[in-house]
Amino acid sequence: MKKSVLHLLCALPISIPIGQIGYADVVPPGPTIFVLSVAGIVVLGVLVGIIVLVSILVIRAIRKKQASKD
Amino acid sequence: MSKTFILSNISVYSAAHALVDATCAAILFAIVTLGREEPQYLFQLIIIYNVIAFATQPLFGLAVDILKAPAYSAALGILLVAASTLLIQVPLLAAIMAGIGNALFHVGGGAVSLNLAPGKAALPGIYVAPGALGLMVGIWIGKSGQFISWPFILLLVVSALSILVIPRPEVTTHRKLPGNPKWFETVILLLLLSIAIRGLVGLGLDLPWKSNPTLLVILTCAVVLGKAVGGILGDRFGWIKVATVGLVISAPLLAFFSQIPAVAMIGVFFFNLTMPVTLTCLADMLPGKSGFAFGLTTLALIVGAWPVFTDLRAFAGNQWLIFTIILVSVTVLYSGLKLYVRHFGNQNSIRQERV
Repeated sequence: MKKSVLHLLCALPISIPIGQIGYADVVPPGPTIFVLSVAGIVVLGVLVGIIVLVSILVIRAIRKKQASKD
Repeated sequence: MSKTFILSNISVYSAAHALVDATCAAILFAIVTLGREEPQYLFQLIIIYNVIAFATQPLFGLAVDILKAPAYSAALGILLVAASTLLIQVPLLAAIMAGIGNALFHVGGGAVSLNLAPGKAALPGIYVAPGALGLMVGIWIGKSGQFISWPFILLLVVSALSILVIPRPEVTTHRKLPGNPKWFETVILLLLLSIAIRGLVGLGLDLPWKSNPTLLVILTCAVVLGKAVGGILGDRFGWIKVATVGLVISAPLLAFFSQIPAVAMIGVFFFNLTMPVTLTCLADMLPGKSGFAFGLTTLALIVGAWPVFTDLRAFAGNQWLIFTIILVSVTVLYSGLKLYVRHFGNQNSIRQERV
């Protein structure tokens, strides 16, 4: 299980298309550049995940509040 | 609210929006231009900045709604961005501070623009639109190697003071939504999904001619105009008509003619018409939580754009896939807006859709 999760994370490395952002001056030419490690992806993913979760809870709380006004 | 009151608020916040985005972009690209760090580290900074600036907005928005202090949030955000210009020698700290400042400003300004004329999409569209212009100018200044802190600090401080001095709109208090709460989450989910798809297409779209400065300026004008006009047209002709027709027109133009600048720019204009409609509709679904609603839209944007930062970005090269994704977005947005109008719509949106 642990191995498969890591495999999934490694299969989706965060990479930046160089030309798209316009860093051609400072970056050697190439299709993409790996930017974040697996740990980096996990940390940022967890941060975004927590915010998404909090947002869902807030939306549900607002809905309950609305329903209680009926 | 008087016209002068609305005009002074929207002018100050729109100008400040362009300035804040310009400063943040200039800081990041000035760090890159300094070239002292490894390229990989610089890209990490960009991603960290984007995640902080976009993804944290629901949390800051919620705080703004609870404290009922959108103007203070916007002013504090501006001052943090101003302070971050002095930290270019410490890139990570500068990126984090600029990201937090940007997020605080956006939710504060967004909440104010949504409360100036509740239920109307025109003003939020006008507030958001100049951001693209600011980004373009900021990137240009940062890349030119001409970035100097003090003019930015001066302008930002003047903006913050202006925001604190001008009369503020009353923040809408909680009100009961009409209609069936059964559809509450569904409408919100559909709206956020359509925004996420917009983020995916908007960032993933490959426009190789953007490297031409003149074409880039015209393209940015198309984005600004689309966002600014979208709300006005939506309020006049109905949200569903303007948002869905805009997306339908943009689909073939962006998918099959992105190599032709003039055609792609028209596509970009129509593509951006939906932004103020989805934002205002979402805020209408969350009465008294306009800061949180604004934050949800930026969270959806960054979540939707996530594949663009990975090797999944290859989708951008497939014209039919782009076309299909935009059509899916049309369906999702149409369903969301239709459910909203049927079950929760404010009187203005309902009236307009019946015309």
